[in-house]
Amino acid sequence: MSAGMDRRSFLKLSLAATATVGMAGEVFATTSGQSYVSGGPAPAHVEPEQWVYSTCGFCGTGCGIEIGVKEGKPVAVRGTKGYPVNDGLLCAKGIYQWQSILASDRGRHPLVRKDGKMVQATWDEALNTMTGKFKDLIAKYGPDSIACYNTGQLAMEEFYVLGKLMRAGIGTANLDGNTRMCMASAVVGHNRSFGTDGPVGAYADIEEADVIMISGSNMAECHPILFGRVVKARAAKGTKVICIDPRMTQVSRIADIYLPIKPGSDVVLLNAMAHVVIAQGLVDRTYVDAHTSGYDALVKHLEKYTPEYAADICGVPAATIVEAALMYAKAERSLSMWVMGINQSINGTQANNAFHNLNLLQGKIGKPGCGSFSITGQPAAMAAREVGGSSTYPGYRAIANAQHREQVAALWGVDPKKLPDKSPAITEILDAAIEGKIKALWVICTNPLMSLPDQNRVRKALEKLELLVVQDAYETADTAQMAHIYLPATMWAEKSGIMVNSERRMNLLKPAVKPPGETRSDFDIIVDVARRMGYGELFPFKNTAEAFEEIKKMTKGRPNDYTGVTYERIEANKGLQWPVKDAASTGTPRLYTDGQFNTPDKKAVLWAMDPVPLPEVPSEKHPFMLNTGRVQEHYHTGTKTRKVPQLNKLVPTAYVELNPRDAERLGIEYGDQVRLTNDRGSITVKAVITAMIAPGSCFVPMHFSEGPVNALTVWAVDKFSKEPNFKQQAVQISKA
Amino acid sequence: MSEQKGFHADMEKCIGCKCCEAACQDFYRMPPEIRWRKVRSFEMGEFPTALRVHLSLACNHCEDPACMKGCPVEAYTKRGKDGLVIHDPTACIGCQYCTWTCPYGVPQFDPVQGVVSKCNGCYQRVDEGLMPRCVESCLTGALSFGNVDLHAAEQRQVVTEAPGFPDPSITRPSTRFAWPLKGPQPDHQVSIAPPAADPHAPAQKEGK
Repeated sequence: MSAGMDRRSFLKLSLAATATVGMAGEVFATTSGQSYVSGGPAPAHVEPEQWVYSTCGFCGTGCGIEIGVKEGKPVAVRGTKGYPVNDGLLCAKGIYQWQSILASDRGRHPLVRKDGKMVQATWDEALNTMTGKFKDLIAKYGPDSIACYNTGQLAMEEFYVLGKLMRAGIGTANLDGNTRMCMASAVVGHNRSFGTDGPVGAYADIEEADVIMISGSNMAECHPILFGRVVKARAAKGTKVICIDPRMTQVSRIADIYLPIKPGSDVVLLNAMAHVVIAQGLVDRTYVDAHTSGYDALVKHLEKYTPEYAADICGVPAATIVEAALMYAKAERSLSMWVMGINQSINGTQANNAFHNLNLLQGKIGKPGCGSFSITGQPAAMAAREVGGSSTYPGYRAIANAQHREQVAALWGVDPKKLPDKSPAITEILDAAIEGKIKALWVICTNPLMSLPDQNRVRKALEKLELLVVQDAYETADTAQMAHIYLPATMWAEKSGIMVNSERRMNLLKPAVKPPGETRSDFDIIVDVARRMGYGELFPFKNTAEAFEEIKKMTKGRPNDYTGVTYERIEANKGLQWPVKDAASTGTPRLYTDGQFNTPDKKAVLWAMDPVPLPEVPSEKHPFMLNTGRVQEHYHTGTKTRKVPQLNKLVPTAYVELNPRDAERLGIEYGDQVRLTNDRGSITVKAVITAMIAPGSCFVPMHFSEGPVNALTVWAVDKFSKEPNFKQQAVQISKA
Repeated sequence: MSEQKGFHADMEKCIGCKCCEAACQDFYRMPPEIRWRKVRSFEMGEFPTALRVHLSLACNHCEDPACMKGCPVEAYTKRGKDGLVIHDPTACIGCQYCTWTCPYGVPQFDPVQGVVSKCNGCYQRVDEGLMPRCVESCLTGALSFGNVDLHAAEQRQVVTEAPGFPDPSITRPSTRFAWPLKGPQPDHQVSIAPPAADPHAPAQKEGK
């Protein structure tokens, strides 16, 4: 009886005596607006006239959806029956997403700032102002004075034309995506271990695995469809679950072994688990000798990472580390899954490599039920990575690789010297803006003022710009309110293109409903900007399908080969997992099944690593460790989900999770306003008292502009991936 | 064998994702203020062995429905063929007696429409051979629906008691539960049927 409670007390538990995220809505219900109009029709089921095949626009799970349409408007969304990812199921966000299309603050017309005020403009005026300024700045300061910061939520074809415009057209190195804050550590981790990016496994491995180790992932809230598959596999065949997380979640509840490690100690723990695997003779030497390099150095390096050494640093007993390592290693099929708790860290890349080490040591890569699985956070973040939307060239070609740049230049018919050989991260781009080196920033489908760390620093950078263009579906987005030019873009249900999920499954967007006002697709806007800039000959595409034909040529023979993909084949097969080398292929569930990796010697690399210290630890002045993340009801900065009254009712505003002991010591009660402060900023939010958070730690979700947790987060990045460290910072907490 | 149909909620499998709640609310176009199904959360213990569990509840389609007894206009009917308790909003006068008599707080008054509404067990769907929308939407298989007597054969555990759930002897609710594997366990001997159930019902089930 882990919770130290008997049957009688269990039955007497009442909602009022407990504190949960779900309850936040009950307690704070008065803060949500009345959405239900007096005199309106009685609530009743609405049956759509038509269901249109599409892909969910939220996380990287990539569920198949159908958009219900009536009289040209979205009236429902349902999961696609038989779709391999979700088989008809959807999470609460997914169910309600049709409402975010109808939100009243959808931009309908371009806006241009005049005398400090945003006023309606024509597309000609807005785009000519934008491109005119771009041309002036290029002439005066060179192409690197222009930067673009995009997203993981466009269609593949949009990422492709954007990358081509910025690099082959304008010729600026300053192109990055918010995927930097999400998957960058996973990307660099894949590159370093396997030679190129690309998640190795498939969701089907969840059902195939004997043991699933879930680390730094509140999968139950952030990828509920995948966690539902874990829970079902556990009930059906007794799959064991290991949970590694400083914060208790539903994942830790169902775990057979729970390791509540100290924040940021992942690399030490994983090194110690690898130490146990080696010490207990559980290494697959045949596989290691044939398919990896660096084994001897790793063995030597891991000598000091004994379970006892790790126990001190990680704050969990040595015996539990051994138990977890043995459960994982002795299983025939074991799978590691992780997300932002691992990636959004100053040691994010190394932690990714530590997972790959653990699996490579046992040959658990490219086999059913096995492998390393970094789940993606956005529906098309993978597409951005694959076709040059952020820090790569199309076809997983590396920015710094001269041979790759030559291949791309040849395919595009441009001078290879024009193609940038660097790819600064958004944190570097904004610092360059503060220094006055970057003059113009084009923000597409993301809300950096809310989502990047250290909000005051971000605001300062954005204020310094001569031109801030924001292209977004919502004209009220926090960053859009600072813009000089606002361009209204269509949403996922209003356009066509391809999205790619965490398991490399390419799926289709189809225009289901008519976009509002003068809204245009990101594809049309980007191509129009390119033509106005004078690069029209690089963009001979009438539509996304034509652009996709060019993308296919860029990926032929590359790891992400789409040669055999067409829009029709995607829909007919309910998604296709790349590589799809020819029209007969139905996709590739797992990579590296033959042990041949994409490194020069075809061997995967085992990395000997020591973590670097955290950028910030609690001190006398700032005694709490602040962690950040999501809740299941909301997505990112809430621009979509906070437009859905039903979701907003459940979790209407910002809050901080505090352990009951800390709350008692500070005299804080459930629902009190509390102030969180450090040297970067201060926010005031409601208190939620819960034993799911460790004493000395606190957690604030990232969705709420009235309590923006990123006013407190630290400007520190992983040295390999440049991904910010969102999960550990020190704060002081007091009653407001 | 009783023909009474009811829900079964497995608290081990429930992850509190609220998909049942959202699917119901979205399907019937309910405003945010009215939720026919609600997921409750309970928490006990201390970090790192604390336990947060979830309980998804809608109408319990009682064998002896208190809502019906209090209704002055016969807006409630209990179907003979499956025991589902159905509320007719067109007959309802909004007196709200049922919101006071139901021990589970199931009927909800809608101030905009001026009437009460509640979960009707998706009886139209059930008549078509479909599952209620909440059950169909459950991500983990935590929620099931069917003949109450048949839960025993299909579920890991069948218990009439749950946290915060009033004494089942009052209205003999048809909802059954399985408790979480971690934390407190129900009494070893668990009755399938509520205490006042008919004498021919199977008497006891071995708890796990």
